[in-house]
Amino acid sequence: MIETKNLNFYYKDGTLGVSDVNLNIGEGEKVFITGESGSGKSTFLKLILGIVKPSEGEFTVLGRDMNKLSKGELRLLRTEIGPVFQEFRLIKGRTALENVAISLRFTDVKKKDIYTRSKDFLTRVGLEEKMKTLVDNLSYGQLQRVAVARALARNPKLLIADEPTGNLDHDNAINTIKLLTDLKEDHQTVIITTHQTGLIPTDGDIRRLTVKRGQIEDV
Amino acid sequence: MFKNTGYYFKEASTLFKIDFKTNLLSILSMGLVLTILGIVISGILVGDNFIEILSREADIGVFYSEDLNLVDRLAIKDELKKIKGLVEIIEVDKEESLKEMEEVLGGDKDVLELFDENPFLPYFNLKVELDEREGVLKALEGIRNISHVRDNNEVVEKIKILINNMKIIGVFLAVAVSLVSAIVISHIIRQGIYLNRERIETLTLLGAPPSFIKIPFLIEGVFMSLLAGALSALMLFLLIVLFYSKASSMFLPLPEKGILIVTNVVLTVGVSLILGILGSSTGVGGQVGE
Repeated sequence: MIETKNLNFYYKDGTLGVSDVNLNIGEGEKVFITGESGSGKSTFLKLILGIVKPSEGEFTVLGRDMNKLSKGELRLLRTEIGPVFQEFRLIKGRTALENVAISLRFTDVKKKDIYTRSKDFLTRVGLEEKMKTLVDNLSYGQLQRVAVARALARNPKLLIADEPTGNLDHDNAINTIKLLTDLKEDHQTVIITTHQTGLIPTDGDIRRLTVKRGQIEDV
Repeated sequence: MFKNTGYYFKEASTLFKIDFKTNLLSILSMGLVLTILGIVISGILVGDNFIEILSREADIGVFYSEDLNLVDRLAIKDELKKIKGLVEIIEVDKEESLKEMEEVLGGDKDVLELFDENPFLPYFNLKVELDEREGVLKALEGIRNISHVRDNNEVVEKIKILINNMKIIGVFLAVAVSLVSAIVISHIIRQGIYLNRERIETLTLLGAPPSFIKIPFLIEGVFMSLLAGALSALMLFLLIVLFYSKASSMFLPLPEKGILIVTNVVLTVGVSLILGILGSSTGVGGQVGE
């Protein structure tokens, strides 16, 4: 699913992003990446989404070599990933339902199934009453749920969530983590970054990674 | 392929509403610019019509001595009949010549009373096929007893040159105005893209193809341009109706009102559609989904 070998990334100004990462994340894994702010957690997710390219080393995501990816291949890769962004990245002026539906329009989901599927996932995250509400009028917790529904509705092979609990109160944070880990299908891999270690479930099937000065290691 | 057609139109409408006031003002300014284009095109059409009518009216006058006897006069007429390219030969006597001048002078015809006797000469008025004009003039040189030939074509040629020069300026103006319209549309689309940059970035990160992101902007641009075209067509229609009602009292050889209106409406809407597509394509080109 994700493989790295001596992966390094430096920003243009020379700042270290990630350093000498050697990882192998398999299908269906639930991975939590913890670490202080600025340690390199978000950078690793940016590398997965192809927002930035590796500076050195080997890096494969869903079988694709991230060093040799064309624009078209990157676009296709992104349709197989369900991202939950730290700042939600929902489209303003549109309803919760439209926000989920729009992300399905350029996937394999058939036209007649787009709204059914979107409603289904919004119901699963507990937003059946807020489907037709503009996202501009939703609370932080509700926005996060819309973002989670959008990511899951795409039936991605890989779910990534960058500090999904960062702006939420404790209860909402716990619920969001539960949604991401419980609603995912068995074949889906989920990678969640957080600096709040107390929120990480203690189930046996959770894999915990920690980032220190760009180096990612199993705990 | 048509999976998202409905979405594209709905999204274009949402994009239009997001910046409604600015878009409305843009349509108004584009409409005015296209109206200027229509006026320039109308000017060219009126100029063409003017040249055609003048050319048709530019007869050749063949003068002879007043003392010429009937036999010699008829001999001239017989020779004239042999010339290729003559449509009609009208014999104008002294009295008719005077009447013609009185008509030309209109309200100032009293000036002719200053003459003790009719100063105008009899002549043959030749209606000529336009393409044969040069040949007719050449043939006239070989006919005896002709005192002189009056060829209005010189005046027509001068007016033609003047109108053709004005047409060159008109074409330049039309190109400039078209460019302005395309740039305005392109700028509006770029502005729309800038206002929606977060949305575009999000869709790109979700894997949306560039076409999925661009099409609503293209539709918005073409729609706005067509609205501007329709507005301009309406303004031109009103202007033409008003102008024709005022021009009826003037001597102006205008083309048929209906033809001018239809030409303007078809041209303005057609041009606005083309400019909309060009401007929008330039506006979104390389801007999104990269």
